[in-house]
Amino acid sequence: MQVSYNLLKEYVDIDMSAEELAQRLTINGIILERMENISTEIEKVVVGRITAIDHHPENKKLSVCQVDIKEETLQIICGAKNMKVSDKVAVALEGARLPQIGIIKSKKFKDVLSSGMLCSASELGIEPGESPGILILKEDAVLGEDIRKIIEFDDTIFDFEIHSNRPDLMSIIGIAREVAAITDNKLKTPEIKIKEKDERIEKDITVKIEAEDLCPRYTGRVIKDIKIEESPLWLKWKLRLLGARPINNIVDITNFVMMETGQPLHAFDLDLIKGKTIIVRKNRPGETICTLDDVERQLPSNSLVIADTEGAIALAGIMGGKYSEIDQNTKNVFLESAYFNSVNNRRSTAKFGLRTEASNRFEKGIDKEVQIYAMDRAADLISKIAMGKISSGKIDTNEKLYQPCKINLRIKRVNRILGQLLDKDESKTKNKIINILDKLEFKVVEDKGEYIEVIPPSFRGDVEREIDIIEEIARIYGYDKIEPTLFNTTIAQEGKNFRFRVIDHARETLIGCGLNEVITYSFISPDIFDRIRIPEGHKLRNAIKIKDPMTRDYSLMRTSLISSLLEVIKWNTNRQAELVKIFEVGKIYLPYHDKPNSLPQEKLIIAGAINKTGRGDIWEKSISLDIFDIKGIIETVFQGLKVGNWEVVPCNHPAFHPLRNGKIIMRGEEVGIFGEIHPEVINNYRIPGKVNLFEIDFENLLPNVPSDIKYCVLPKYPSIQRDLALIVKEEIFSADIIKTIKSIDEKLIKKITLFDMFKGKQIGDGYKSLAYSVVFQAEDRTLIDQEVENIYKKIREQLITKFSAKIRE
Amino acid sequence: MENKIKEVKKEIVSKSNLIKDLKDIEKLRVEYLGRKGAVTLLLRKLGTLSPKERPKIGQLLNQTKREIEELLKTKEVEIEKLDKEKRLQGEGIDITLPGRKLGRGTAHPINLVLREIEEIFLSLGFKMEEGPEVELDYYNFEALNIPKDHPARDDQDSFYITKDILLRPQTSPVQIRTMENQKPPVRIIATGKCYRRDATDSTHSPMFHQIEGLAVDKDITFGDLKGILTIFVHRMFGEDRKVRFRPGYFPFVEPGAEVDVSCLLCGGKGCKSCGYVGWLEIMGAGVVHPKVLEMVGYDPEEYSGFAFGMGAERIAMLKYGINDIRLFFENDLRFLKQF
Repeated sequence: MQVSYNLLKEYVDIDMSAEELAQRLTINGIILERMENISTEIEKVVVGRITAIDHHPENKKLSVCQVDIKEETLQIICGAKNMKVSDKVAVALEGARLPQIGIIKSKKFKDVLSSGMLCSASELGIEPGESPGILILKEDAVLGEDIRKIIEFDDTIFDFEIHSNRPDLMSIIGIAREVAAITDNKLKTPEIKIKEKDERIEKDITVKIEAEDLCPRYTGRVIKDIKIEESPLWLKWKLRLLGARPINNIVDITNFVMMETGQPLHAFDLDLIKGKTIIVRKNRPGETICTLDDVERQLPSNSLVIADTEGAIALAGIMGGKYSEIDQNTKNVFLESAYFNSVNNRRSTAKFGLRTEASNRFEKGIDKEVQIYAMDRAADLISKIAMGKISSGKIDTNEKLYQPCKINLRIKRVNRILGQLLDKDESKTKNKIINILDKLEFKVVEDKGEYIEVIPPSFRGDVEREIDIIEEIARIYGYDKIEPTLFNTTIAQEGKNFRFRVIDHARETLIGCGLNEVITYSFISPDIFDRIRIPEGHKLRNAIKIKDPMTRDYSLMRTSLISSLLEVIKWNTNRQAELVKIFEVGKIYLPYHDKPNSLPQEKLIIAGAINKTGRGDIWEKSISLDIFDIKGIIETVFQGLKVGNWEVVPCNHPAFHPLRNGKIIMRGEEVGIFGEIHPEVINNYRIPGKVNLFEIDFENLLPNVPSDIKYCVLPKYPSIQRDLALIVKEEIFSADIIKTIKSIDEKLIKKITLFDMFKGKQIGDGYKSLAYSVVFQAEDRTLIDQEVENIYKKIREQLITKFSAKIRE
Repeated sequence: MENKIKEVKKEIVSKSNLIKDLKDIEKLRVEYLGRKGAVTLLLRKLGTLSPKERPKIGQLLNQTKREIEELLKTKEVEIEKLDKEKRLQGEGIDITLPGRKLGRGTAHPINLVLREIEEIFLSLGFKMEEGPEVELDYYNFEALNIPKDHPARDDQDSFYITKDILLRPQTSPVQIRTMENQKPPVRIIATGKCYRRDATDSTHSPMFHQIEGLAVDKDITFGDLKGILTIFVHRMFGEDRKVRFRPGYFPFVEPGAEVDVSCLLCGGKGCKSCGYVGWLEIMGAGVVHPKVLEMVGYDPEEYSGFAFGMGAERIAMLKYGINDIRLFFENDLRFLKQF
């Protein structure tokens, strides 16, 4: 809501500066969004009178005016046509400063001297855009007087943010009322003197309400014989301060009164209302209307329209129709001041995608009692400014729309919510409360001792129950005066549960492994599935769709973190990063096939990826990051979480190199995948080098994380170590060999470590040589060589039979 | 004989000065003390002496032998010491070469801020909760006193999945889910991702993070809200920060408040970063609306509480002096590695 300091001062005495006022209002809940000082924009502009007008000898479009400015008469050349001799005008003197033009200097137009300029309203900053002619001042303007005495140019414009529960503040009077409450001053509302003519309103108009639920109150007046012209300067200036654009006197008055009182008004050209009848009804099927903005609109069902006997002439509470618009030919007007249902108005504005100053007020709920006041205020102004004659009588379909409701306010409850007595003495507290409520125009109807009965004012539709009144008290009393306290501490609950602690632990380990944490959007584009080679029909393609996405890129909820991490790698390699090691802990969102209307399954995923393209420093240059680096990171995380008993089996995830990816299995369930990203995918993302990546399903991992640690007794007897080298076919997995070795004697074989592996001509194509060290140890005695030799022999036999291994001696 | 002994001694002393390494010492040892060494030979000749001379010469000879042994020992220690020094001299390295590091990664600045905030509230007896990001309209709006067609729904233009399911625009639904599942006292914080239909610019992102707090018990007041949040601001931003509470509107709290902290840059004097007002808005808060308590089956006459919520991105931007929210989601390593 835009309003100015001087405007507010017309409605309430203010004994503080504009800055102080803005500060006070902010503290009391009306937030200042913008403040603009419009002082000293104009200098050396005075009132003058045109004494003669001649044509410019060479340019017929220009007039040469003689202008009396009291001390002297100036010759000024002017391009406008709307002035005549003896008009009073605003004269910018030599050296004058104008807001948009700057400094005015005398100059010659084809040998004719012009000493100054005749100003238009827009040049004075009164109107936005470009005014059609120069500004003609009222006859009573004093010759030679500074223009700033006629218009108070020195002002401060405030733009306040109004919360949606306070539509009453969307008016000058609303804000002035708040200022009055805060500063303990009196609100001054304009006095209205309606002089009705003999002619009755019923002669010209009948109003029928066919949709009473959507239009619970409709009031109106008829004003005749009006003179349509530009608004007077003071009104234009006020509209400028309020951020509105002047159109003509009638429209300007309805706009101004709306911003003054918060009640939207609409003026119809009375003579264009067919059948002299206004019908407030829902739209008919197929009905259309051309609105003031020149748009022909289809009316969706349940649109409330103002119609005459032939059809819709306005969208109720949103915008008038083109047909009954006020224009130069309008002689008589019908002025509407109604209360429209806020919910329906809201739905309609949403359907039309059309939000106006009027709808913005109706949809939040306006004062139920202000209709007549606002209408009469406008009628009064129209009779004064546009010389209109007000017909006697008015339309009012429901005088009793506003039903005051009584709310009981318990004094003790105020303290229980706010935590502090306004005053130690309870009766003094009560007096303070009553005083605050009085300032806000809440009526205290009865004092019942422990509680008081309060009736909120009609413009405070947001106040429905006791707590709403308590908030008002806190607000005006001042939040800053409420003492901070600490509540009694009951025993702290388990602050961070096991799940949160495991997440933290995994994150810390990954950071310790040198990975940088990233956070990426949960949205994905449907295009990523092709990019990461997910075939049609694959379960990963079954993603949650956003109904009305902002862009295609943000139209699905992700089902994997693979594309997210690849995007980050791409971003960084595009910026010359030579080593990218990243991880993310984030969710994927999986729909339930069987329950389409239930919430999706949200699974937490821990994913990481590495990519190296540069050579790094002296130590790093020989290291190429490969699948075993990514696997090592996963193993480190598991190690930290004390997760054992997991195995890796080959996997065929389409995003990975077909022979270089594996599944992590725990207790028969898949917990994650890892591997080298498929070269085609790498190519789709234009990433240099290889990417190795993992995804761990945290939800499946968590049940495998032990919640505590059990100590194992340290061995008392020495261990014996034997090395074992063998040659096997290339496709045999080392893990299977280790499993086989271990199975020979689960008790005595303590540890098996692969310490060497190579391929080469000397062992033959398709073969590899593996070397293990095997550690034997008993818990109850020192092992003797013969015992170990026996087991060792069995191991060799088993490996030979099972894998056709060649044991290297 | 006596002269011969003295000669030997003189001779070895002068030879010992020429010793270069351990081999030389060994050579001398053999030459004099070895089986055929000069001293050994002299010792063997002792028998040829008269019994009168024998003890005196014998003593002299033994003493000379000891002296030679000592002399060679001393030389040996000296040489060994020199050798060690020489060897170390050859083992010089360039200590300015880089360390062979594993390299430590970094936490994302948003998570850094979330953890810091969580720690503060955990220490004040709050418990961590979480809730779904894809949420029912009921939990996100209706149970929070924002019925259908409520104007406040505009402030949070949301991404809908179906008519009744949306991406949560705030973490507040966790309040309702928690209260539905437990009896007071409740004291929780919940952090997580939220989504709003905001076009991306330097201060808006369609995805962001929030921190939500809720405390419900008998006799919790607005004063308690001020107390807890003042402690929070002081721990998060420093003891010298001023805190300001002013009226704000959120349908699920009443009285509602906006919480400001004195500008981190100018300390309240007014500067560009605070828009010359000296204050920075950091969160919304308030006393839980009785309608919200009623919706979850708590009796508002018996229980009261407060709730608060803040944006992690905003806090991180203020704390680290970051001026563009997009940096958080671009994940540029040059940015991430600073935290």
